[in-house]
Amino acid sequence: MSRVLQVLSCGGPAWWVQGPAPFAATRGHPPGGPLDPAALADGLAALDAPPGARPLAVEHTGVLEVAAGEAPLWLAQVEPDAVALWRLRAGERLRLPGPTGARVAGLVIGADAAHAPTAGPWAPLPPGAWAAAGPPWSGPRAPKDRIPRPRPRGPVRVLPVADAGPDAWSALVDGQWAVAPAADRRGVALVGGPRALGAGSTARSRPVVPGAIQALPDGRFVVLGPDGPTLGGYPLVGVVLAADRGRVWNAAPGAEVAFAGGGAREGHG
Amino acid sequence: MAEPICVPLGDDALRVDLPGPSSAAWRRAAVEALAALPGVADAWSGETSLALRWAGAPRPAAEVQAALAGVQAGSGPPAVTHRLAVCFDGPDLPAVAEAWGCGPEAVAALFTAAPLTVMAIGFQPGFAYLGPLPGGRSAPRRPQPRPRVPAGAFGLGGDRAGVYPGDCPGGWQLIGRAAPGALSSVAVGDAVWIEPRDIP
Repeated sequence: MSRVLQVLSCGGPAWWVQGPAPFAATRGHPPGGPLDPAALADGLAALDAPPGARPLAVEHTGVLEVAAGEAPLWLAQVEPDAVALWRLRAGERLRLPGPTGARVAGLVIGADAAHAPTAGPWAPLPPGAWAAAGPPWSGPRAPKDRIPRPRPRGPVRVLPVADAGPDAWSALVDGQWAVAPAADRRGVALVGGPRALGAGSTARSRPVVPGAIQALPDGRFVVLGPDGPTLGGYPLVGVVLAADRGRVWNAAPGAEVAFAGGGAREGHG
Repeated sequence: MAEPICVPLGDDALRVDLPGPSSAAWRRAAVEALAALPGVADAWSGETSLALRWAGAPRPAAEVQAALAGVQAGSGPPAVTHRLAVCFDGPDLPAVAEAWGCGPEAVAALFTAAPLTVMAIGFQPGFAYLGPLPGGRSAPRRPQPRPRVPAGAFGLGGDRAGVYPGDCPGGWQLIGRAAPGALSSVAVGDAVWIEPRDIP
């Protein structure tokens, strides 16, 4: 293992991204993982990550300054509309802008994480921290400066769960929603749409997952994040499909979002 | 007995609603059985439901139901006995004592008569739901949750007890204090003896 990338400064909270961690909920921990899984996937694809790679990335909320370690290193900076590829020489510095049109920006590191993902709440990334990783990857086979990312269109797809009743489901899919400003990795509240009162609560807390949409007693909806609880006492309206979760979790505060029913994959039900 | 009902949670997880009461020992064994299924990345339990997360494409629900059909209480890993030191000095202790028709000291004594069982783990990382409360007692949640419950608070909610591992809002009745991480290594089905103790 070697020190491949150092964080020199962050203009806002930033954190390492790995995971999700296997068998975390078994021990009462959320699985964790990126706030924008699609961004991580696009960054890995742009870097031509080797098969079985253990992804390592940074999500940051402000300007981020980094420096390569003792070896050259490929980086993929994931923006809402494109992936920018960088090849740093040993010791070279790079200053990356903060997120635009999103809550966090992503930087995928072209080397394997030093360890398998571990369960537990995310920890802020302090300036001076080094990313320990395996040998740097060889990099993209056909390097380009920028690779366009098509923005997903249409409503966020949700598989319904009948806990909260049909009125709550109607409120969710018929309402025009915005992402509340106060959101974190545990969950995102929705504002602006109709309130779904009367959903109540369950007698015993039941398992919940990242992407689950809970109906709170005051009629609001909350979309649970990658660091959300593993058990919850509020009824579920549905669960956002995996590919669409980052669209809610990483939506800029105030961004509009709409929901529609989406199907499960084969073999599930 | 009726079969468990499988409820897809999105496209990468499954909740299994149990048709009736189950023991913590059975759920412990059931989680082990789910975790051993091919393609399962995680498995855990509440008190009335189990859940699993798929690593890749979901498998048929029938495979999950078949795996659970053979589960016997006690076929999982053996339960472990833990000791939890609790200082019974919480702000809601007088109200709970009055509701239970006894003095505050008697509340502490009631908790030493028999161990509590870890019924589920969740809500917060390491938050263990302990129960049943002594003599089948219960304590209703507060009408207004506190905006901040300190880490280590020992509280009662309905017929369950628990130690808050970290600061957070909470509506349980707080009757004491313990070390915040005291139950970080417990598993569903484990036994927890309460030991009243003065904690500075």
